[in-house]
Amino acid sequence: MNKKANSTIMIIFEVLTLLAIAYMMITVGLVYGSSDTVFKVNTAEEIRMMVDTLAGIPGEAKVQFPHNVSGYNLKLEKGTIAVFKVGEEESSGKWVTRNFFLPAGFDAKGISRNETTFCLEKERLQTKVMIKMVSC
Amino acid sequence: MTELLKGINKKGPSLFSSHSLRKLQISKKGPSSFSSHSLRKLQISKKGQFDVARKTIFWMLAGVMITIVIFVFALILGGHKANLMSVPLDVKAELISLRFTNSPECFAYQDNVSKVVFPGIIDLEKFNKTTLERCYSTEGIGGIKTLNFRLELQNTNLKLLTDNYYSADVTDSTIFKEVLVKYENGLEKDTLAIYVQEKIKGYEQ
Repeated sequence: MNKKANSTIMIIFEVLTLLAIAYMMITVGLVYGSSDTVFKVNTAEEIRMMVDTLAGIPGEAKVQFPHNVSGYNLKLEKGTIAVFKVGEEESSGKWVTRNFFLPAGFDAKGISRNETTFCLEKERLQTKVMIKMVSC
Repeated sequence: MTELLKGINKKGPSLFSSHSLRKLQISKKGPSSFSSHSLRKLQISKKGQFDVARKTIFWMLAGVMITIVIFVFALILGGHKANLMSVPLDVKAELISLRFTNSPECFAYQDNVSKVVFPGIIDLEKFNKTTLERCYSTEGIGGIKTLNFRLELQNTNLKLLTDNYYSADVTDSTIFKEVLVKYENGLEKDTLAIYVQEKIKGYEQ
């Protein structure tokens, strides 16, 4: 083969290699940026902060979660909030959980199944204070 | 011919591979065959060999560089992802510490008769270790992985630590709240300093 042609093919090969690497990096970056894990972690953190806020006010309150959570299930228990996609099993290891600490006499519970939004409600009962995850 | 061979040998053994030697040996078969054409062939062969070596070196360096770039990219992505998910310590601490001054389960004063709670007024009778343990206890799920607090009423000089506050010297953030302290005789202005300690280094939640 002609030396000049050989050199041109080599340059094309090099450019293609660099383009492929750039494409792979951009794709991986986009996948990272819009990943489910980020959404789950942020949702769990926000719910934890909402629970902490509700525990820190003296009276009763009801507050709506400001983001769309359709496609996800949420499970609130005393001391834990779990966020996971519809259909994901607990054993899959894909659940994102966050812990929080409530004062003695407080309890928390509730489930949101594939709903667009939900509310957290603080209610003072006779013997305890409940923080519930309910439909708005 | 011998002079030529000597000349090539002087340049260094790396330029003189078995392939070019074979070419040269073929040329040596007859003096008539050693024309300017075969000399050019020898020169091209050497140049081609140098090209191949140059490309090999280039791709070796490029491989190292690409690997470094990929590692750096992975690190940047990891950092970016962590940024996307991080919540500032001050925000977390501020929201948790709301309970210390506002909740009757913690130190907020509550009138015994009317049961009205007065946020921002600290009942001095409640300001003790027992109440703090009922208000914020991290022991159940490993307190070293989460926030711990040291509370200090500065004028009264009363101090309380949550159950896993590690050391008074280590403070990641401090919040100051202007409060009123309820004594038996009345109210007095004070400052509640809340020293925040994040999880101990090496533990991740």
